Amino acid sequence: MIDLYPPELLTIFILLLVPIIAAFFLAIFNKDSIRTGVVCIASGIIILSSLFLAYLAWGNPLSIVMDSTHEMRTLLFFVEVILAGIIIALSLKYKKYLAFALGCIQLYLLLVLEMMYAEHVTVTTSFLVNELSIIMVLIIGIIGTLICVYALGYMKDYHHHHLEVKDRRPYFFALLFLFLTAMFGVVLSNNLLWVLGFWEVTTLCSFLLIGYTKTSEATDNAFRAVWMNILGGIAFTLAIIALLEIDPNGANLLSIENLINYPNMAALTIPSALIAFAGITKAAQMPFSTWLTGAMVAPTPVSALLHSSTMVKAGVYLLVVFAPIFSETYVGVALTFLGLFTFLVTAVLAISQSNAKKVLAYSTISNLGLITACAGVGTPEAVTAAILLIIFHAVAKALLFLCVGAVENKIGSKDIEDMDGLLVRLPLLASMMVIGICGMYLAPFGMLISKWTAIIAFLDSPFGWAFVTILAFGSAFTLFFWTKWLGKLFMRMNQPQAKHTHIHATEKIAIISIGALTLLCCVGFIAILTALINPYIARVYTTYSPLEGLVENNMLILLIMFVILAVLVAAAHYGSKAGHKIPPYLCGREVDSDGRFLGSLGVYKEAKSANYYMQDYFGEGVLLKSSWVISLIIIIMMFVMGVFGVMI
Amino acid sequence: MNLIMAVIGALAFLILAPILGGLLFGVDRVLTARMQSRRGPPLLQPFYDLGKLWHKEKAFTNPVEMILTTGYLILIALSGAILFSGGDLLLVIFSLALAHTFLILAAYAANAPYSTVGAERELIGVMVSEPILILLAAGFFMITGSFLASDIFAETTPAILCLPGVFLALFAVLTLKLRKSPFDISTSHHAHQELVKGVTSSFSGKTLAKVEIAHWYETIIFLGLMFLFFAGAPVLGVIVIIIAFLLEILFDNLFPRVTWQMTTKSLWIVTLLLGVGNIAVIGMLEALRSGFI
Repeated sequence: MIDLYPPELLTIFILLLVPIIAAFFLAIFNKDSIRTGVVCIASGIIILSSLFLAYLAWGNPLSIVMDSTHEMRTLLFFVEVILAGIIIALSLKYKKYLAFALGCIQLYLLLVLEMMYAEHVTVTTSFLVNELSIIMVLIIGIIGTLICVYALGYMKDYHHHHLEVKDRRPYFFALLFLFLTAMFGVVLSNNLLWVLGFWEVTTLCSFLLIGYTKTSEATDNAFRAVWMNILGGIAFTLAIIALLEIDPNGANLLSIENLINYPNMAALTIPSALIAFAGITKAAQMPFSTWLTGAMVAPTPVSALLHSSTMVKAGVYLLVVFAPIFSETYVGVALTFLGLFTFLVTAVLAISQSNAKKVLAYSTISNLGLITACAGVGTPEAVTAAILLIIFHAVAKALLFLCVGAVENKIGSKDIEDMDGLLVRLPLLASMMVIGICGMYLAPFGMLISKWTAIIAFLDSPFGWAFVTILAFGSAFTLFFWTKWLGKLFMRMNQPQAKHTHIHATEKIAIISIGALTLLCCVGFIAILTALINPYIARVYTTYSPLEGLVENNMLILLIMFVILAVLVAAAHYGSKAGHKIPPYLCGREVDSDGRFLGSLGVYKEAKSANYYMQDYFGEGVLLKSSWVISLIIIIMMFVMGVFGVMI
Repeated sequence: MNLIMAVIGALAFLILAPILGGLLFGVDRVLTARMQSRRGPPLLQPFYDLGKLWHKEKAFTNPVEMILTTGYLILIALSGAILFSGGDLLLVIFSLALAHTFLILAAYAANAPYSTVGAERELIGVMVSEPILILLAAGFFMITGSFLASDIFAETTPAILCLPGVFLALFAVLTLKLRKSPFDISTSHHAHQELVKGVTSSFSGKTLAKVEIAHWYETIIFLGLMFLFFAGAPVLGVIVIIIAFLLEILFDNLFPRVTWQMTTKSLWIVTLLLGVGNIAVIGMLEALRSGFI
């Protein structure tokens, strides 16, 4: 039997099945030692298999043909129907009629697709493992599993602190692993029908995980997430139907491989607009941002998973895969404007938030906006930028979420205002947080390099001047909200270390590994670019020569910056701290040894200062509604352009 | 040959910029005094001040601030070295932002509310000037096809002809960067109260001296960016920069009470109208020429 399956297919099976098997065991056994064992073993297997698959496919992408495609398809169809059934039943139970109605429409469309179209469809290539899927597999396989490992320690503390929440850890961990299977399915399948199946599984998993605490807020937010994502699912199903209508034989257009090489791009504007819409909902772009900001009611590992390696990354993955179809169409231009608009508005909104998880959520949406914009531009440079953004964002954002979660369990707050002096109170977590924050926006770290590539890509496209203008303002806002958070960590460092600094070993392993990965990705970005991204781009865009100037001209200076930073950090750690330590300057007031000042009534008082949040200008109440209107108009424009098939 | 020129440019900047920057501020103080009918300090006063600061006792509220201000100085110097060696403009801009982050963190680390307020306002200053800097790089790229300062400077037609709006927006930001207006933003030259000195209110001795040198470097960087607009007409460039500098001093004395809110609003209006307007016109002309629209 083994002879029948080549190693790459076996590895894919391992990636798809091991998480399911792990989920099964995790659901049955509710004992800490067994849970730890299962999670660690499964994570180890998944990480090794991801690396092995990357090794197999590196340099020569694999198109894998499977025998039993029909059975797989039938299986996925049943899964989809069951999922839709679960969502419909739950929305009835909780009286959420919008989700119910959309669920019914989705079910109807699935049946139509299955009964009327799918019968004749044959896609020969089942799995496609190219450089882009390798990158995604590595992100899901390494970061996703590390988040699951982190959850082991985190959930113990979580239930210790939140006695009101019923402990349903077996259910929780089973869902986390199921999520990984679904994500592997999305990024490895070549057949769009399969992608749709796995796509729906991610919707259900995120829905159930967001509602984990079963509070009324969690339930509401879970249903908001589900109706928005079902809307995307409906668009995806319609896109498949539209593709089948264009070419009733189906064989060509349902295969991602063939679709992006389809000669007549102008015929594809309607399905591409629908696909874009599906991607937008999953990537939480405006006006669908509220499902992702609402998702933070769930325990932190869920947020980390949704934001960094799964769910939203499925949305942008789809957009990046379809990027060649968006190039030179006005659908793509509209998509770019929507992405950039989201980038700008959510960066502004992030300024007004003091809840760390909410700042992270808005920053995620903002970065996804940039990725969406790059996919919309669809040129080789833009896709390069998009893939770089996906990688760097995944590592840095996972790190930040894990840090915020661990800090919350220690200091009992996730408010940035409570994080002053964290560098001395919780040195390890705060240092990792600093790495994460720097990784999100500062030179010479990754996100900035990606943004740089994006600027170059935008400038070469039509409307480039408008794209760059929005990017310039968005970057300024991004700089503002990250720096003031970073500053908080450095403030009031005259405090003692926190009492409970003990961190679970699993949390520590996950945080330090991802922290190291963040640095490694930044230092090794040239390797990522030349080994993975450039070959992918060269395969998709045959006439393109990679961005060499960018690398050669500036690598030396980036290295110098890295060295300067490293020396400064070392100096801060080991350098001489000799000198006269004076109390902080408080306008000539008398100050005691703890840095408190002598008040007018003769009492020593703590001098406190808070960051600027500018609620009057940048608050959610001020900006959200109008942004919904604007983004809806852009989406409508996108569909109009799609229907008329306008090309540039 | 190119490499040698680049190294010479970088070294010349690193050595000459503080001297030139210090002299400029000496001139500034003399002229300001004359405008206010005072005698004013000698021309070399900034250097005397620096020398005095350098020999002060090493004192700090938080040892981290020494490292952070050193980082600020080194990175500002690096930004200038990149610019004057003909490097990538975007890299110059990003490096400047990184440098300012260090200064802001140093102020946050001082444990005192005044320096925190200063840090926040400095941050607002960085936020306000960031878009125009990126637009400047974008504008140069649109007309020359390169982000490299050396390529831009090798052009024979001065960029000012195509980018007058961007130039004026940069001139407006210069007011902020020379620490002239607003008067209540961090480290303003008008020391009336603690809030005004903001970022530097907790620094002393060498720490403060480093911030001062970095400031001289930064001034030369901005004047250098202005000079880029006059590739092919260097004499005109020098004259315009001298006039611009004198105008800044005049404006400073005419409008001594501009607050940071006013600055933010007015600078962004200028950026949007002049900077973005300028880029939009060039972009649309380009689109028309290549037949996109």
